[in-house]
Amino acid sequence: MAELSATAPDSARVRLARLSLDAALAVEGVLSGDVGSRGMHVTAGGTSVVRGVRVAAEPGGRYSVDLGLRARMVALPALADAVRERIARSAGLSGAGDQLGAIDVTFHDVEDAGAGFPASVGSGR
Amino acid sequence: MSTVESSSTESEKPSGGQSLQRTPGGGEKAGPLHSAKGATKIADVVVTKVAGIAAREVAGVHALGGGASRALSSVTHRVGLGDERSQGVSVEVGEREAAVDLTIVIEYGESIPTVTQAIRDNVIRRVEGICGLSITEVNIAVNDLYFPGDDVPDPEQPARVA
Repeated sequence: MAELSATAPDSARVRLARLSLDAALAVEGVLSGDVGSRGMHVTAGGTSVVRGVRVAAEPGGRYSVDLGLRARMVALPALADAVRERIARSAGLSGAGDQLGAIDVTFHDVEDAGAGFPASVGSGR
Repeated sequence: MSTVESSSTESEKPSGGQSLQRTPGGGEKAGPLHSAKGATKIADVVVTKVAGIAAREVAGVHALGGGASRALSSVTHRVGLGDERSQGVSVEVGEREAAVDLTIVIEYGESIPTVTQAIRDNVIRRVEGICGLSITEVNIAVNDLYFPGDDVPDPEQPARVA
C-alpha cells in the first residue's frame, strides 16, 4: 500500500507567489513583503501561506501577481519596474514565464532610516 | 492663531513631475504608475511620510501638527508608539494624483509666505519624485509661531508679597 504524503505539493499558483516574492525581495530597495492593512496580499494554498503577495488566476491560463511591499525611500515607480523585470526574469528561468500575467505592486510603507531623503531622489525637477 | 494658505495646480498643466495628462479626446495617458506590465499603487501612509519629511526639511519650519496633536504625539513618542513624521499631515491619494494638507508651526521672524511656498515646492518635488504621483493641492495651515524661549520652563517666580 502506497504511503500517503503528509503534505501535498504546492500548486502552480503558490509556486508563482513564492517565486515572485523571492524575486522582489532580491531587488535593492525592497525591505520586506507586507500583507497590507486589510491583509489582502496573501496567497494561501494547501498548507502553504505566502505573505506579501496575492496571486490569482486570470483567463487564458495566466496568473496575475499583486505584491505588497515595504521599501526604502527611493523612487518607487522605478523600483516597481525593477521588481517586475526581476520577477519576469525569474519566472522565465524557472519555466513559468508563460504563466505570468500583470504584475501589480503596492507600496504599503517606506522607511527612511532617520536620514531623510537620499540626495538623488526628487532632485530632477 | 491660524492662517491657511492654499495652492492648487491644474492637473492638465505640465509639471516637472509625472502629472495626469489628458488627451484632447478626453482619454488619459498612463503615468509612471501604470504600464502594460502592471500598476503601481502607493498607500496613504507612504505619501504622508514623504510629505511630512519634505515639510520638515524646509528652513523656518519648527514642527508639524496642531497643539493637541503635538502634545499627544510627545506622549505616544515617549512610550514608543508615535511616529511624529505623520503628525500634522493628512493626504488624499488617488491612482495618479494626491492632495496634501499640512498643519505647521513656523519660527518667529520667518516670512510665512516664503516658508509656505518653499514647503509647497519641496513637498511637490519629493512626492512626485518618490511616489510618481502628481500633486494637485498643498494646503498649509500655519497653526502657531515658535519663539526660542517657548520650550524653556519658567523659573520659579518669587513671591510678590511677604
